[in-house]
Amino acid sequence: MQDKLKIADQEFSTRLLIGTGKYACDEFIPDILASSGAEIITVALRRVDFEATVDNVMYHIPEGVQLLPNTSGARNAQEAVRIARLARAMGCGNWIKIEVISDNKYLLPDGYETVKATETLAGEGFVVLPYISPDLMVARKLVEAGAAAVMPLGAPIGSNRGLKTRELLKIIIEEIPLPVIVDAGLGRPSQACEAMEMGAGACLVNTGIASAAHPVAMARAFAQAVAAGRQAFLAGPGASQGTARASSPLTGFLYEEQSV
Amino acid sequence: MSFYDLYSQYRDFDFDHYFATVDHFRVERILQQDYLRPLDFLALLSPQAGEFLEEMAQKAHQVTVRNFGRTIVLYTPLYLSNYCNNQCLYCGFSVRNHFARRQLTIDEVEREARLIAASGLKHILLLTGGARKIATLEYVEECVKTIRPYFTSIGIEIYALNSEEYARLVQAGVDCLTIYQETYNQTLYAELHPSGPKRDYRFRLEAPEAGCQAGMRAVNIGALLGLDRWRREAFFTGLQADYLQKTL
Repeated sequence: MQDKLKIADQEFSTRLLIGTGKYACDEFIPDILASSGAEIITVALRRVDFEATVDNVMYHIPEGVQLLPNTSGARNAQEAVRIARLARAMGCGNWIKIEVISDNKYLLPDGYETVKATETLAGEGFVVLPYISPDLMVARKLVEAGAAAVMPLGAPIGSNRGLKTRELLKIIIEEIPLPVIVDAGLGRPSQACEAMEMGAGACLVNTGIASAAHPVAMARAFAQAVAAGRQAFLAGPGASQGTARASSPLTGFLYEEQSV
Repeated sequence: MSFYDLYSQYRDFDFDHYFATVDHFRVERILQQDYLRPLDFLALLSPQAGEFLEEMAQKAHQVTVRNFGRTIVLYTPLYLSNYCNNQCLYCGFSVRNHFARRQLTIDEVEREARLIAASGLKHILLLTGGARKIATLEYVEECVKTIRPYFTSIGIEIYALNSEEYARLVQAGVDCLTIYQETYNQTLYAELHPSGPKRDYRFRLEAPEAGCQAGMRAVNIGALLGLDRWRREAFFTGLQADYLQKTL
């Protein structure tokens, strides 16, 4: 039986999602998509200008890839909802990643506004994937609000610091019955691998690939790391000891008599 | 608290005394930090920090790449008008200088925009001199609306405005504000700007925060180094950037 990532009514074979920000050239994107094997790609739609005749990043995204427009630039629920509706009207489909960020220093998301936007948009038939800090209460409210997945951060956006929030991520993975897509902060493939070993449903990587010296090769490395981590999770790792244990000081006596 | 209020707290700061207290152990520790407080930043601007220039360059490069990827943004400036009513001592546009003054017509602006866009440039910066009664807000607004279909991003570098006026230009299609702060030294600023609306130090200093409040997506502070001592100018530039990031 194949191990598929299920989000809403769709199934995906790979578990690495990629972004389109911070690339020198949108022309790189098809190569990054190919080497990453990603089947879902995020796109920012901050200022949609229907009259603009200029080049659009979406011209570089091939057919068959699930587009995930994001509400990057939204500072509150109202702006996020407006961007989502614009994206759908533009023909980007009905999937939406909610990013509501009013903090310009750390770029941390506003959980309260994210829940509000999710309620509204899920009610309008969107497939909603909200980006949040790994707050269990916010995640539970998102489940009630109709989110299709949750996207908790590993570390602040662009920081490349890895799973700084791992303890909280473990709790979310344990408690939330939706795919958990670790998003933000994954700077190295080993970090994405660890997220998958922990039981995450998928990982989203943008800066970690875009800022690499060779993004196409790094995308391939991330893809392999995500696949390896998933396999490890499914294989069920052996129990590990906190300390070395050469003998059984407390229970050894139970077996000493038998050997006599 | 506006940035002017924050600036005022540091205006009479004894920079030389502070620099004298910075040793290289302190600089090393600060370079390990993830976040800087204002005085940490100032320590990195001290003469003693000069021996760590390569380390600072490496760290700055990493931060830049993480935040912006491996990208360079190309833009071109388009001067709409060179009429000015200021007498800034350092500037060629000063009203005291006599040369041909010109303001582009809307048709001329569109033609320039079309030619520039055809060259592949997607970001444009519109500039005017300080003469607000000639290069009026309405004129700038009309220029923006005219060129909007040709560019992904439109910036302005014009006379300072308040947030309602910036909001009007944001509505018209501007997403980027550039404003030059020739010097943060309020005393020196008064000497350099003897006459004209630009003489109002506080109004100009608060233009970046007015732009943020109005919804500008990007605000660029053009801090000139050289009119006052550069370590101080760099410090105030960083202080203003930190203020804008935290407050707005």
